[in-house]
Amino acid sequence: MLITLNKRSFTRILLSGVLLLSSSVHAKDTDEAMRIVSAAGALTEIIYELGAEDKLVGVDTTSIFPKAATELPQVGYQRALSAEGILSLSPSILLATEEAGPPAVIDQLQSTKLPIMIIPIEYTTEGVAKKIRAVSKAVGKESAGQTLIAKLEAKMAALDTKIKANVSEPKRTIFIMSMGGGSPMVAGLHTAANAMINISGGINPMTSYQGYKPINIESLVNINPEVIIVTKRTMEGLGGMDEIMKIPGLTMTDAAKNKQVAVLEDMSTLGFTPRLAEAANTIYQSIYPTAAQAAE
Amino acid sequence: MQAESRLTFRFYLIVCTLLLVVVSALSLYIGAVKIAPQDVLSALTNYLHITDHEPGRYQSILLDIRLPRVILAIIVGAALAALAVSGAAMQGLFRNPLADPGLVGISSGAALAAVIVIVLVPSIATIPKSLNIYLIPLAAFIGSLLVTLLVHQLSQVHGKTEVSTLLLAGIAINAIAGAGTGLLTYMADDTQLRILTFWSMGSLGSANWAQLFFAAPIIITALIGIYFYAKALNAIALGEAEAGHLGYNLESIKRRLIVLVALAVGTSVALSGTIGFIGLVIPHLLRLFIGPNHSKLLPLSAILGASLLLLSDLIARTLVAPAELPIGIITTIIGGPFFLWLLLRFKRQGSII
Repeated sequence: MLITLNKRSFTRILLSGVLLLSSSVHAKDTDEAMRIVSAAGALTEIIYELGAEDKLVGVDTTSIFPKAATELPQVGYQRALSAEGILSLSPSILLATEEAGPPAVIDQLQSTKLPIMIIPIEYTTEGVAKKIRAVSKAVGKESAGQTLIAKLEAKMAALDTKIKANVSEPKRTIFIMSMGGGSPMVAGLHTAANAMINISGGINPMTSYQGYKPINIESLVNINPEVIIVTKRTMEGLGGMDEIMKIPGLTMTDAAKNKQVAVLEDMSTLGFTPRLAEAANTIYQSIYPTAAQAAE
Repeated sequence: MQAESRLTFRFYLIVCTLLLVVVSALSLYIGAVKIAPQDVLSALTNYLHITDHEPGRYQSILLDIRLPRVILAIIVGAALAALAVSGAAMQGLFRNPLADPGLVGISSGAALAAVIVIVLVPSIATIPKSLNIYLIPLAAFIGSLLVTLLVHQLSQVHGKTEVSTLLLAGIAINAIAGAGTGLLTYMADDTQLRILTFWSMGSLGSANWAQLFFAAPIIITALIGIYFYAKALNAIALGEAEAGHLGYNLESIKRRLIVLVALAVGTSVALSGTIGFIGLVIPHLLRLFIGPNHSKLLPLSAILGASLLLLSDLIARTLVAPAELPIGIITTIIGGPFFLWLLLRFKRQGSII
């Protein structure tokens, strides 16, 4: 008993010594430079766009673009952050969105006096502009942020002009997130996919529910989408485009009849990042291939 | 007495079969797409080559979506319920009233394998594309068999199946498989998490003919196989020693039953995910009415289980159309309170189980 107590207190002394040492080293670091931890892929992307990546010391698992971001120290998934993991990077600021959590961890971090910037998520161009504005302010590159916003708004306006000129009636477009669980999981209201479809000149007919839900495959016949968007992973999971075209129920839709099934590289395309205009253009082109071709 | 009980058995058999027929007809008729009854009929008769009508507009919905789904519900429901009966025999064998096929690791093995496929396979690109759709069911099937065999192997003591070891090994393997599933859940991204969550609540939405051709023979063979052990199960319910005295070779019976149960449950879980409560409710319910004789319990459980799963699926796919509810939620919402009500009612009469 006595021995274990001794051992324990010895370890404690040793540990506290190490901790003291490391915290003093980090304290010196924070004086010299800003150390940012980003807990959202879109925010990480903005930091790179603004050329402030040298200040980035940690990212979450959704930060997969640009590729270089994946090589930074990981703080885990944005909804399952751990306070100690983040603090071990001795950040001077944490950038996160409303999706960051769990709330208890955010509270813990706040109680350590770590400055935390929580940015709201809106699936609109203005929503992306807000993210850019907030991040550029945090990293002290506000003019670069303004330029980035102006560029984005110009591109979105150009897309809008194209849509107004070419689209008289928006095509019914659905986004199938996956088929792995049996029934197709389709984007409803309040999803990035829903917003992206509407921004890109289509219209999402799945308005009777929110989020991504499995849907009854025969109801696709009633809804009769003109365009179906799937991710590359879903397409490969189903065994390729030929197999998708054979799915009963889907075969009876206009989308299958006109072979209007578009493949999206990745879910992150729907991330409402600075690449919004590019993503929206890609989707616009897959919804209206002929109009897009004629314009070029 | 004997004649009377045979009469009640016939009565319940007819009632349950009628119920199954009615629910099947409703399931074929009702759906997100409205199809007239005569079109349903002509599509079916066309399919069976009885008639040669012009195919209706919705023939493909009926024959390629609804019919396979109805058949899948019937065989999976039958498997779950009839297996719970053999599970009930295992309860006697295990001397544990909560024992079920899941206890020997069947469901957790299937779940672990399915999760491995959902989370890890996208990163392995070498698998032929045409196999992809069958990967989850196939993996779940193999997973359930492997885990069951492992648990069984662990419980062998001097060439005999030690029941208490089997029980404990099953619990440990279940926990390990659960941890494996948890680890993979942790590694999964948002899309995969959604697939995992919905898979674990069960769905018959993936029903298609190709899967049925693979699954139906396995499940039906296993169910018939289990039925042949009905008398042995009755003897086992009396106790292991008693069954031995009655001349049953307990070792080979245990081994065969475990394999048969693993085959049927593994295949069911593979095709529909994990669907709760059918297996628990149906046999207990029937036992309240017709007693513990497995020769009657097994076939009736199969028919009633099929009807209840079919009815649950009908609700699952129409209640919030075009969206779909996971069927595991429906079976438990219907089954749970009903079971409690029965329990309370029969408790007053002093005769539960």
